[in-house]
Amino acid sequence: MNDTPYANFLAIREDKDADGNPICVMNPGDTAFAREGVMHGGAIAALLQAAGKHAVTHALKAAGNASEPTVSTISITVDYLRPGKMTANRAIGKIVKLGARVANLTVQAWNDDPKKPFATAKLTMGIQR
Amino acid sequence: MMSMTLLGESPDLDAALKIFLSTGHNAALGLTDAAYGPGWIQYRLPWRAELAATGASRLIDPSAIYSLLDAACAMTVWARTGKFAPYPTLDFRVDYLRAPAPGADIIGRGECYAITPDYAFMRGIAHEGDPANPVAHCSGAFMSYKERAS
Repeated sequence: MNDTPYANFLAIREDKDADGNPICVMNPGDTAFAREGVMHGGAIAALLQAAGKHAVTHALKAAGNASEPTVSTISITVDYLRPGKMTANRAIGKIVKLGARVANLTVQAWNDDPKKPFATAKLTMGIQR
Repeated sequence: MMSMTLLGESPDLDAALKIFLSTGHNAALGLTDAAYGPGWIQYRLPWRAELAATGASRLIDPSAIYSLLDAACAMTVWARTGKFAPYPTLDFRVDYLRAPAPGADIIGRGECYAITPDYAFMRGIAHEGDPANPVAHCSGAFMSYKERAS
């Protein structure tokens, strides 16, 4: 990704899934490590937040916004369902509502099987047009 | 490599925090200046360009503040009870109250304000030096770790 130092620091990059939906992919290294084989909860939150932001910026572009709106996180709540492994993982944000000033999302992250997420998040994002 | 066991074998919280802050994500963030009291722990996250949300902004990424707060809360059961017990995170919420000051170090302080044999409840704030003017607020639930009966 361009000009996103913290995402680069954690090896998080924007991508698309097979259906063209915006996702984020992470290849966790030492900077995301917590303990043997397990990612740090904060690094997991960063992946979920990045996927949510990617979903919102993608949706705003698709809606034909001329200027590039600023998208910021108002709040995030992460549920840790199982340990996040230190292997390649992915996250996708689903927009529940895209409003004029706020977007509400649910995001999930998984290692191998999208039906077995290791973490989910409820994300509230602010939009400044 | 840090493990739950290694932390548990630490003679005291000071030694455990040294291990905790010298490992993986916490070390990469540069968390430092550990301080603690009854039920609370605090660290400083020094500003550096690598932690910025965007290159131009000099604003620390919100997820780095999340990590600071998560780490600050993680060991507070020890600070409250005086003994090690692993309590992994069940859920964790951060409210971003305003943009952080550009290029500023962030202080994160976590507190264990309630505990049962099964669950612990934490809350905390992040600020640039004035706790009365927080940049973020957190709360979360943690669950005690138990070996499964085989």
